[in-house]
Amino acid sequence: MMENLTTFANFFASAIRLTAPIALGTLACTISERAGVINIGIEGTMLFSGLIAAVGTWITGSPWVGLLFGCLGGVLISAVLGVLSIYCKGQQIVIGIGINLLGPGLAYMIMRELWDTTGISPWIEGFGNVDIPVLKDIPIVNILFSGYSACIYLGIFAVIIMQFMLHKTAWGLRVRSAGEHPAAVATLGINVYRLRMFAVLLGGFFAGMAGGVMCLSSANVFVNDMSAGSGFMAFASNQFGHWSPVGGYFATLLFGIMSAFRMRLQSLGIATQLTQMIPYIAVLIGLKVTGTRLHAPAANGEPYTHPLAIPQVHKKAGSQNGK
Amino acid sequence: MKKSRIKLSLFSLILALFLFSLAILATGRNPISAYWAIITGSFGTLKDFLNVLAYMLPLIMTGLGASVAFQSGVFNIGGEGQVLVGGLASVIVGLLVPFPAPWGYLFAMMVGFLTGALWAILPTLLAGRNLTSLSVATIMMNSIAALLTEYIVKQFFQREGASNTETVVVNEGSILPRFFPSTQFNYGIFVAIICVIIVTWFLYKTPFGFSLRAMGNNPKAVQQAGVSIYKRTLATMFISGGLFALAGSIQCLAIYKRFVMGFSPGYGWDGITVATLAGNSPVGVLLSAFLFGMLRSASINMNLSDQVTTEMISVLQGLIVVLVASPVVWTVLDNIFYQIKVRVLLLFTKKKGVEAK
Repeated sequence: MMENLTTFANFFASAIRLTAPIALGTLACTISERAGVINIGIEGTMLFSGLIAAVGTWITGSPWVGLLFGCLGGVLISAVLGVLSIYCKGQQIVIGIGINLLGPGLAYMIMRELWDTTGISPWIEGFGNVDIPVLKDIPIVNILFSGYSACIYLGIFAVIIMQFMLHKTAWGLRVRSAGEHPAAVATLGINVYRLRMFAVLLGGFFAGMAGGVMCLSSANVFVNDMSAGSGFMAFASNQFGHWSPVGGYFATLLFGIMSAFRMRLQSLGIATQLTQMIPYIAVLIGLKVTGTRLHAPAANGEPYTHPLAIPQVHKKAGSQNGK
Repeated sequence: MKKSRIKLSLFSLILALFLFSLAILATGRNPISAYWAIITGSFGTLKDFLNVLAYMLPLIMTGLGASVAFQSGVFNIGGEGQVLVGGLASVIVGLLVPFPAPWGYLFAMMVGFLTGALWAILPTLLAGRNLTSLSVATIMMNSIAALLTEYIVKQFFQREGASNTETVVVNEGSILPRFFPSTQFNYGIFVAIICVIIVTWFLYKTPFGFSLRAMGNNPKAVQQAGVSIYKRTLATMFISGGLFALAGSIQCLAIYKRFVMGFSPGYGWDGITVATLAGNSPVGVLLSAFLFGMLRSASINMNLSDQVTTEMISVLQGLIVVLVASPVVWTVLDNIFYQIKVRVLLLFTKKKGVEAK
C-alpha cells in the first residue's frame, strides 16, 4: 500500500515538474484572452524568452536574474503582438503565427552570435530544489508538495494570485469585461486599449517566465526547439480550463499526467514515437470534449475601435485641399 | 488582387526588409552585401536560377494550400504535418506499386494528395468550426504527423545500414524526373502551374469557390443564406491539406527519391508566409514563392550560408507575416506620407499665390 502510494506520488510530482512551463504559458494565454486578445504566439515567446533567460544566467551566473531577463524578453515580444493587434487592429491569429516564426528565429540568431551554434547552449546555473520545512518530514506529502525547484513554486503562486486578481478585484472585472464587451467598459471612461495592452504585456511576462522555467528548472541548458509544442499545449489547456487561471492549471496537470504516463509506458518497451504522441492526442480529445460547450470571451479575437477614435483622414477629403 | 492589396504587400515587404537589415547589422554583417549575395546567388548562373525555381516548387504548393484555407477563413496551420504525411504516402506507393514512368509518379502524387487531405480533415472533425480550436488541433496534428511518419519509416521501411531515418529509393517509374540531372529543377513545375490554374478557376469562377470566399468574408451571412458552414470548412481543409501534401510528394519523389526524416525545413510554415505576402491570391503566390525560393536557396547554398543563415530567414518571414497582418500600419504611414505631400504642395501653391499678388 505504502509503496503504491509512493509510486503514485512520484508519478504526480513528475507531472507537476513536466508541466511547470506549460502552466505558466496557460496563465499567459488566459490573461490575454480574457482581455480579448488571442495569443497563439506563446510558443515563439517561450523559445525567445527561454534563450534570453539562458543568456542572462550565463552572463550573471544567477538564475534569478536570468528569470527576470526571460520575463522582460517575453514582455518585449508580446509588445509586438499588443501594439499590432490592439492599436493597429491586425488579425491576431496571423500575428501570433508571425511571432512563432520571429521568436525562435531571433533566439537562434542570438545563439549563433554568442555560442556559434544553434543546437545546444553551454551548461548554465539552474534553480536548486527547495524543501519546505514542515512538509518535508511527512512521508507521502514530502514527495507531493516539497522538493521542487524554486521557480515551480513561483509559478503555482502566480496562478493563485492571478485567479484572485482576475475574479476578485476591480481590475480583474475590467479585464474580463474588456474581453466580453469592450464598448461597455469604454462607456465607464476606462481606456480599453490601455487595459488590453497591459493584459497582453502581463501575459507576455508570464510567457517569458514560462520560457525561463523551461530552461532553468531542470534542463539547465537551452536546446534548439526546446519547447516542442508546449506553447500550443498551453493554448489548448487554456480552452480546456475554460479561461480561468486555476482551471487552466488543472488542465495542464491533466496533460502533464499524460506525459508522465508516457514515460512509464516507454519503460514497458513501447516505441518512443508512439508514446510521445500521447499528450498531443490527449489535447485533441480534450478539444473534442470541451468543444461542444465552449463559451469563449465574447469579444475574443475582435479588435476594438473606440467610437470617438480620430477618424482616418481619407485621400478624397485631403484632395479638396489640393484644389 | 486589388491595387491597394499589392501596395500593402510591397510596403510590408520593404519595411520588413528594412527591419531585417537592422537585425543583420546587429550581428555585425553588412546587410547590403547580404542582399547582393542573395541576388547573385539566385541569378548568377543558369544553374543557380534553376535551383531557385526548384526551391520555389514546394513553396508554391504550400502557399496555394494556405491561400485556399485563408480565403475561406479557415486557419489551417497544420501544413507541416500534411507535408510530411503526403510525402510518406507517395513514397510508400512509389516503393510498393511498380507502375511505368508517367503513371507511377502520377499515381503516387494522387495518393499523397488524398492522404494529406484526409489528414487535414481529421482535426476538423474533432474541432469543428471554432477557429481557435481548429488551429490548435491542426498544430497538434503536426507533432503527431512527425512522430507517426518516423515510427512508420523506422518500423517498416528503414533502409539497412542508414544512419538516419530514411527509406530505400523508390521504384524507377515513380521518380519525378528532373529537366537536367545537375540541378534539382523538376517536372513538379507542371504540377505547380496546373494547380495554380485550377485553384484560380475554382476560387473565382465556380459557385462553390464563391461560397468559400464568401464564408471567409462573412460566415454569418453565408450561414443565413442556408449554406452549411461545417461542410464548407471540411471541403476547404480537404483541398488545402491535399495541396500541402503535394509539396511533400514533389520533394520526396523528385529531390530525395525516398523519404528522409526531416526533409521539410518548415515548408508548412513557409506556405503561410507565402500566402500572407501574396494576399491569398493564387497568382500572387507564384511571385512570393519565388522570393522565398531565393531566400531558401541562399540559406542552403554553402557559399552564402555565412551571409544568410536559416534562422535569419525565419526572422524575415516572421516580420513579413506580422506586418502584412496589420494593415493599419500601412494606412497610418500612407496617411502621413499623404499629409506630407499635401503640405509640400500647399507650400508651393501658397508661394505662387504670394508671387502673383
